[in-house]
Amino acid sequence: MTVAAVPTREVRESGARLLRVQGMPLRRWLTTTPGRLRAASALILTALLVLVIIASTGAANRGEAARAVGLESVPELDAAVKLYGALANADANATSIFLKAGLEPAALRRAYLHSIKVAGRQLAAVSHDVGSSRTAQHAVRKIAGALPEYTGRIETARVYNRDGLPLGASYLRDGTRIMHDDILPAATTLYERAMRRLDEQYRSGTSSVEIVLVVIAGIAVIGLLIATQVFVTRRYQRILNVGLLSATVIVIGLLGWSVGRFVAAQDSLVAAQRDGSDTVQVASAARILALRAQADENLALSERGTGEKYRADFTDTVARLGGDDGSGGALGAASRTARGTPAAALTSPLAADFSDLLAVHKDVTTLDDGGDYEGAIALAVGQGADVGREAQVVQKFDADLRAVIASARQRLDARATDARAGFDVLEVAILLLAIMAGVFVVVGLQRRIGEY
Amino acid sequence: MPRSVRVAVAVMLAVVASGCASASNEATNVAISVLKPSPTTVPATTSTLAPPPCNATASFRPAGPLPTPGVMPSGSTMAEIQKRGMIRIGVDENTLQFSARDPKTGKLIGLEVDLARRIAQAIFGNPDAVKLVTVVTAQKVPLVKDHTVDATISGVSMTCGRWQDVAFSTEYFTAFHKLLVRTDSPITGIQDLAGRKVCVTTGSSSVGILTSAAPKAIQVPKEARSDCLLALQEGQVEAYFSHDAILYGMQLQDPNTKILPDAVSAQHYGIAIAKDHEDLVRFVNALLEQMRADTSENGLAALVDRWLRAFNPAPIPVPHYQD
Repeated sequence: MTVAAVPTREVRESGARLLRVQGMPLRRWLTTTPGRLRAASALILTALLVLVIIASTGAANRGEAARAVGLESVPELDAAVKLYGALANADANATSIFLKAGLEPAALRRAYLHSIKVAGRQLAAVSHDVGSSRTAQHAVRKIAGALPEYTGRIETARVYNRDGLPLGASYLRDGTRIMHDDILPAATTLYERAMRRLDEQYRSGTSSVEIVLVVIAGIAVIGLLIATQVFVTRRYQRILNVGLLSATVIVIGLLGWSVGRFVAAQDSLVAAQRDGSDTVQVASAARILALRAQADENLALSERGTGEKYRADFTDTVARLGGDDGSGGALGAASRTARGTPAAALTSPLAADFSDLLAVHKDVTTLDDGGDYEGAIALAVGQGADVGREAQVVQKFDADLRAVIASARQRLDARATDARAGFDVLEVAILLLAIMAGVFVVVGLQRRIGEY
Repeated sequence: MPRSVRVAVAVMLAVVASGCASASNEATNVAISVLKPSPTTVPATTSTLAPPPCNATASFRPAGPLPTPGVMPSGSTMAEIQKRGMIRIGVDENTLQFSARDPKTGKLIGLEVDLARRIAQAIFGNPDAVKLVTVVTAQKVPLVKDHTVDATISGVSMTCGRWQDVAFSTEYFTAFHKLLVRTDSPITGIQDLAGRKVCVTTGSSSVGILTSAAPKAIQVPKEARSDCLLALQEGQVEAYFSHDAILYGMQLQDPNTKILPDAVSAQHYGIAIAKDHEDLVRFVNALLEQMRADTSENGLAALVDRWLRAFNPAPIPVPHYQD
């Protein structure tokens, strides 16, 4: 069959002929009352469908984001920070044992083993939380492979140390290299990824676009319903069409419920962030920085006069931790984010902890530079079973930061729970109410149409 | 749409938009920004130009007998050191018997540590007035050159190349290059090294000597001396090429290794001192002369014997002077 060019007028007429409804061309049918009523019914139902789609998608997204914040991202961040903390503690314990020389104190050995165990557990938790992210799984695998190498080096160092042979120092050095070049950077990657993911969840749970779309769709449906009722009233001199009116009420209720839930969830999420997770994030960063400063101090001491790069990193790290006097850097940010929450009171010892750290560092470097290496070590990590002033300062600093994090986390969890409440019910309600409204519209209009 | 409806919609949208707070990621940015990685140091590179020929073991003659401890000639390097209250000397911490960290006490002990303490005694009358700075091989000469330490006593072989950068005292020990391998190794000498991985310490004289003696060997550089023993134990290398003085201490720590008997390239150990501190060089040479002449238990021979008796060391080297 050949396709021949057909003149446009014929096409239009044939098109019009195809669109015949009840024996009339479409345009003529729309001027009849039953035609208009049917068309209105179709429009309203279509708009209702669009509203349902927008509202359900919105509810699903919002609900998912709110759920993810409270049940996935926050636990992931928590596990990542705990992982870093455990690894840094193991490193600090191993280096302390080395620096102290002599027979390792039993408490320190136990502390090292405990840190390794905790690190293993947190690694498993993080691995579960990150799901299928490529970057994160890569980092997890890196740590999983390198951690046994690290512990193997430390145990071998231990054996040589107990035998009084200096070869142990090489094994400790190699272990430290694995920890600082491979493991800790990977742990930092996991921490960063957890933070960014939390951010994304907040953003998708609080974007105004969805609310605006739902409102527009809802207004469109309500507008169509009202217009139809006005048309029917004018036509039939009957003020109320029960079906249409009921449908209008239901749609208003649906819209109100959806928007109300969205706005409430959004407010809860924002409160969760403002009153909770902001503080958790910056206080966690502060924890990591304080542990890193301790590692720098120990490594500078173990390099024994040639540890300049560790001294420089210490200075850089504490500047990022608290600025000049504890009011800048991560600590300053923590004070700002915690203001107005119960965690605020817990941030007050942090400035003193920071100046204690600076003071003891100054004392340690003065002793070391002045040739009293043993005095410097005693101050930093202690002698025998005694812990050493710098180690004590860092322990207190860490404990105070953890208290801040715990308090902020409580707030965060409470708000995140509020945020996710009610979305399951809402999703079902949207569907049911929309169906009810649709039924009422059809029933309401059918009566009028049936009179023709 | 009727105007009233339009107004109502606008009002509702405005209320909705204003009532909605939005998430900010300021805290995340702060938290991530403080965790930026720290800068890493770039290792210093050494020149590989061939140095002019020289008499590498010829040092500066002592100016006279040793001054009384605590009364150093005014204006001299020793007087400055005395004012400071301590002398800074670079030593290794991984070379058993020469200079190593005793894990039981954390203190550095060995032949070279004792030499450092003797110098402190000669200046201050107190052997503890020394700050021992641990250096790895690659830092031995640079740290003397930039005055971070006043001297390095760490198996530094006197070479014409190094004389370009620092001065040396007279020789205090002669070592030879040998190979350390596992007891079950098929390697019997340098001729077997082609295609095999051999460990050398970064910045040591062993690097150049191995390149000319066994050019087909695959060199694996490590920063600290005992890191090479670790590599040998872990199977990362098949041999460790270094001074027999250093290898003795390694073999002591791992009886499953052996030192092959072939010796090449004598290494003359000198105390490295900054070129502009010639008076300190003469001072140290005077001390060494005194110790060579001393046949009691405080003399140089007794010192070497105490630490290295089991290794049948070479006789105490004779001093040479260029003036």
